[in-house]
Amino acid sequence: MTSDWTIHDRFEPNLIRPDEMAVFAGGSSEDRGRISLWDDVQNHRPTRCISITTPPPTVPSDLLQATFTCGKIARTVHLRSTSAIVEITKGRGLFLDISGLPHHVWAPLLRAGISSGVSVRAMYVEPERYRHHSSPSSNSMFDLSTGNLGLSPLPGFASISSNHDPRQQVFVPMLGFEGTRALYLSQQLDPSPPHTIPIVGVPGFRPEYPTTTIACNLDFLDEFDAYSHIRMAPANDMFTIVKILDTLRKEFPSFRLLVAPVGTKPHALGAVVYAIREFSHVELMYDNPIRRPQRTFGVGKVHIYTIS
Amino acid sequence: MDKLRTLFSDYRAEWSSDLFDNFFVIPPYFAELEAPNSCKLMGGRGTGKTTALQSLRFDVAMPRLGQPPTKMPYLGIYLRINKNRVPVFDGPELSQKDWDLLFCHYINLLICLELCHLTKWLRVNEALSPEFQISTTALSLGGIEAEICDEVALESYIIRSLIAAESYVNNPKDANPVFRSMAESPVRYFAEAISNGSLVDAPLIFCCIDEYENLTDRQQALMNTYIKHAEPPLSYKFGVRQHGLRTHKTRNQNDLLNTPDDYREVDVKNTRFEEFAESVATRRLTVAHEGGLNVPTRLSDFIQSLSLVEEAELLGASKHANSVREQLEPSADLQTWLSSRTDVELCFLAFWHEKTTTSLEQLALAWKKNPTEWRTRIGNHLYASIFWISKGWKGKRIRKYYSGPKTLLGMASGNIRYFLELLDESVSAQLEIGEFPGHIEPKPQTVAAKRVGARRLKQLGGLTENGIEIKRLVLGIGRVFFERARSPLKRAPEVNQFLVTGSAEDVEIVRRVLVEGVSHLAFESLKPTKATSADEKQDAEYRLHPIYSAYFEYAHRSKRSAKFPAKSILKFENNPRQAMRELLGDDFTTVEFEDLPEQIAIFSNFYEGGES
Repeated sequence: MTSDWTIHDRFEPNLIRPDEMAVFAGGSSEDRGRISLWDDVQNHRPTRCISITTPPPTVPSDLLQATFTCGKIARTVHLRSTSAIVEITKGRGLFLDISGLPHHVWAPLLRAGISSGVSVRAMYVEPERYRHHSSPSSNSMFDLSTGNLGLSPLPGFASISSNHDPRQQVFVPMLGFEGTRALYLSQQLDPSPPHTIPIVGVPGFRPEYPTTTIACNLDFLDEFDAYSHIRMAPANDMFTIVKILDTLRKEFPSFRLLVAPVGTKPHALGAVVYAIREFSHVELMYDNPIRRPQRTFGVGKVHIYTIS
Repeated sequence: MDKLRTLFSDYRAEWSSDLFDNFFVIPPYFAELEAPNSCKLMGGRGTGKTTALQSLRFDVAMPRLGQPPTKMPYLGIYLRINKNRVPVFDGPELSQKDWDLLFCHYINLLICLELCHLTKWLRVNEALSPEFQISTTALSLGGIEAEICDEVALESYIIRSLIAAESYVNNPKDANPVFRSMAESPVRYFAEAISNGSLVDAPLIFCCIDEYENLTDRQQALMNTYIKHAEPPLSYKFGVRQHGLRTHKTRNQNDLLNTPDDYREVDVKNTRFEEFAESVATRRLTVAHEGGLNVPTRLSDFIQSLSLVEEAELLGASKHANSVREQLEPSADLQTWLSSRTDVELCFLAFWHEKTTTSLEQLALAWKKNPTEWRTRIGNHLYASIFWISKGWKGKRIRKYYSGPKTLLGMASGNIRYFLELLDESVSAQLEIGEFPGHIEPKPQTVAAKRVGARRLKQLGGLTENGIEIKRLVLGIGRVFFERARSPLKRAPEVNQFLVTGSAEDVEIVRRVLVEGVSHLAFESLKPTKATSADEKQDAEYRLHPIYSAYFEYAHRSKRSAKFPAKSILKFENNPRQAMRELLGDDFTTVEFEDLPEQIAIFSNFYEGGES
């Protein structure tokens, strides 16, 4: 995979190639979740745009479908069905704005795009700031989720055939601002894997973010005495994540990687791409958070990654 | 010293394969597990369920039983329900019936894979007869009889079937449908094949299934059917958290899974835990002692206890006593009485004076006149007064001791992992003081108890989907009990339980969080009221799990209850300050920030949070 990645001050419609199918969130309570320019793009090229809406999930099975709207046609698509996704995207190359799409939507799209051999590019728009918690605790400085639906595989990423010895696993959580997420996922592993290797976004989107990330995850890092095992990857760099995971595979050749993409979205992107590539060696662990409305404010820099 | 440091450090059964033989102590309920019937083993994380179930596994049981495979009374296999896998058997692409069939096929494959491992082991140990036949199992799993002639071929076939099932569940619309074996059938065939084709005398076959709570309600109903229909030689032993068996339904709507008809029930916590925990600790002490370590073999000699009088003295009863003496010395009537009183008695008088606001002199005269009444009063209230002794003394590090077997066992409250963790941390805290004196003093035990509480509190946020909600409740209610323990004035002593009151709707919201908290050992439910159905009980009264008592510095033992309105409890979510105000009462003055124990003070942002 080439590390083709560009950074822009703002989104411009001409960043999308004419033959690409642009895919983005149908609506979002975040400023960056669905930037207003998507309306113009949609008016301009209605049949080469898909906006996706998902009702607020209440049970894990709600995460398995979404409504795809292309032009005037809206269809419910089963997210585990590669053929349904390819059909609605008309086999075109994909330009995915993952900023406002939840993991359970963009990850299957990515998988469908890669497996069908079309070009896939992903866009991520940074927010300017995150919502602060009104009564913070040590691991919840920001108020980003109202809860989670629990550990459940992302659509199409279930791994049920491996019968790996729990002592032959490496837990690789990508740390973010919600300290309980890595902690929650680690607690689902009993016994704990012998190796825990967290990944922190350094440098962060803002200079103070790495420190904030560590502060929010102190309970987790203490519990697993994992400070000295931390690996760092720039918060906006999905490609370094792929490299780190590749390195870990070589360092622990007979181990299974349990990767928890609960840090930055570009890190999650790297993790999902790696899981698609190395499915038999990697198991994704995801807690399916229920996002709090207006969890972020403002629109920051725009990142575009060429994935395939 | 390294040996001492690691003596109690191993509280995960899974890490102790090399130490299993040395350290495994048969739990008091073990006979129930070894019986031919199915059995539900209920207990929280760390209560030893996994250790017990794993000890039934064929390769672990053999050295423990000290029997060759042909003489083993039972052959066990072990399976853990993986929470990251079972949710996948659901979704809009297939009908519920199809998902059920697929799930049963998956479970059949998993159990049969373990039975393959058992069969291979029997063959290696020359415990398999030449008549052993695997063909019926292979057929029932959709295999071609001629191609699957032994357990090795079957294992390989099962692995391929699992891969096919994986492709299918990840894309049920596009992938080729997979063969779905009939629920229970391959497992029954395989168990019969082992029973008839092994050289073991009439072996029982135990299928141990751990973390049953990870199954969805519907999947539990399917698995319940396996348990309900199990017949000798096969039985199921399933480990589950409290409230984790959420349904007693089976595939047949009218046929419920019942105890004792279909399975026996063992609640780990209520099965002579103290005796078991003491045996576990004694076994380790004995191994260490025999290995040349300077440790006694009796638990009570290893971890020192304090009487209430000794504890009051250590906490500074004399300071209060001196003040009382100064104030009462001028009273001629009390000279002789005063000189025969101990420091602790006079400290108690000061406590009672503050509690009742009656003058010291009046109280002393009453005591002089009616010593029997005061002896009873001391008996009833000395414990509560211990929490008050150091009130207002800034910088005091220890305001209450938590030490001795009885206290540590009480704090562990049925959880062997907690108990060993308390001992392990006590050893570390003792070694931090200096040379090991051959026992653990009360102070390091107290330090350890707080550390363990802190560690458990840290974990809480991540234990469950609603971990943060539960942690906020623990922080809030813990602080409320801390405040009440420090200010026992005009209040019943030792209030550390609570009853949730209010509208049915609010109570239900709180109850749901508390029940989940009970499942994850944040809370304990007491006095369950009448069951509304076979598997749903209403819990009326709760307390924080006593593992948090040292952290929040209140009584670990279960005593009296307060009534907490559900509406107020719910305010811990967004307005902890207001919630505390309502639960403590408007006239209550909370402890000043500077006087808060540091472990509570670090959450001051949380306690001060919310609208005023």
